[in-house]
Amino acid sequence: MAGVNLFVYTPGATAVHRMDPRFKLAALVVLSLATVQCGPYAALGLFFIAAFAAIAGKIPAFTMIRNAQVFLLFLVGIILVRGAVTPGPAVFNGAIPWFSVNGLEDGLLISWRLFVVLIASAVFTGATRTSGVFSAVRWYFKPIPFMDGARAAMMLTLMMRFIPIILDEADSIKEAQRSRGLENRKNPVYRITRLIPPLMERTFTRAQDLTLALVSRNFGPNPTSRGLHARKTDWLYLLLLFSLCAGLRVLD
Amino acid sequence: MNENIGEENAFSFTQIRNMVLGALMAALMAVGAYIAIPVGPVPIVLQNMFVMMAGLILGPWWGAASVGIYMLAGILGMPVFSGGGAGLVQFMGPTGGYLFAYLPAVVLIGLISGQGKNYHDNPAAGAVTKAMVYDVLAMVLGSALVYAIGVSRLKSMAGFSWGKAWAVGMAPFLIGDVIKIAANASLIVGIRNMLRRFKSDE
Repeated sequence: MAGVNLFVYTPGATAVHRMDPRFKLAALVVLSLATVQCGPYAALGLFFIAAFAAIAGKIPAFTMIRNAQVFLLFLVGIILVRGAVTPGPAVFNGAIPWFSVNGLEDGLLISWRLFVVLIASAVFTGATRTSGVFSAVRWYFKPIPFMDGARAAMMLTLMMRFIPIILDEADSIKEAQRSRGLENRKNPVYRITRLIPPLMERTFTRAQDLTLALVSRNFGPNPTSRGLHARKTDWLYLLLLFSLCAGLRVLD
Repeated sequence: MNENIGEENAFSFTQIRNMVLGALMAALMAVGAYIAIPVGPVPIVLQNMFVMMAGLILGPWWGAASVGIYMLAGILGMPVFSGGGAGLVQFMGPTGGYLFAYLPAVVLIGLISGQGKNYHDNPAAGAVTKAMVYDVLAMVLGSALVYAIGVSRLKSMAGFSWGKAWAVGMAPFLIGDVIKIAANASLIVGIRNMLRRFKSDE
């Protein structure tokens, strides 16, 4: 679990890093929406777009995803379940009777779409500072009535900061418990109740420190944040991405 | 589209604490999707355990804010849903009903658990038991609401019969849910004590 670093910012000065966070967020949503129910050719095209962004931003997206083995296991799981539950002719001329060709195709397509979204989100979080995410989310929420943009943006930003901390804490607690032989205990309630309290204790301590730090800095609804500056190239990149996604969906 | 934001007034300690705790619970929901405890054929994933916990410790409205932020992160494309899922596609699919249902469920859990609020700060054995009854009832009804919405949507979108929708979308997870409710019920007293220490810094 320690390898799950999809939410960690990778410093850099590439075009992807320099892009206005609002446009990066919009690009992520556009790409994410384009994967909805897309066919295999569109999914392949979208993969190349996400992979190009990862290379252009010098984001080690593939290393992060390879480290996050749980994602890959989940994708394999989707293929296996789809193959088992979808009716149709069996693969390998009936050598594996419970696994259908149609299910294999379905499972591969669904996993591929998820993989594309995963790379795109790794590029977004890898190339955008937390303060940038905060400013962008706050900006998008501003025109929505009855919605406190500053609070929503702050909570989203804090959530992104907490995830790697919690994963590291959970990992170290599990490691300590493994060394004491807790893995051998069969009772799941016992195991959960031995994992959660120290995890909550440690994360609450962090939350407490963070609260006090924010209070001492007079954190308010209009905090000082990075200025947002849209450039012509940002519009150009977003329009290009939108056109490519739309084109892929039309051709699909 | 250019903007600079200046500093003005400040949030109160309570507002900031609730924001931080809401974000923390949202992060725990996201992390819970990756923490799997192998029990039988279906491993227990802790995501909905933290959704229930958010309702219990944050109450209905901050609990809903926490779940809302978690959903927003997923909609924006962050891989925070079960097994690294992300995007609007998760809501539009046959299993989207379970995700939608977290929001009314956390409100329901917060409201029912809040009825036993008078017993939360009382260390007497009888009061602890009464608080636990409210908490367990809240979690059972909250889980039932998640399944009512989730299984209905699964049935309508996948074209299953009620029997098959129950067999695929509910039956395999019931044992896990019982374990999670039992674990939450036994943990919540300690967690409320931790929160009390947190509040005492005010």
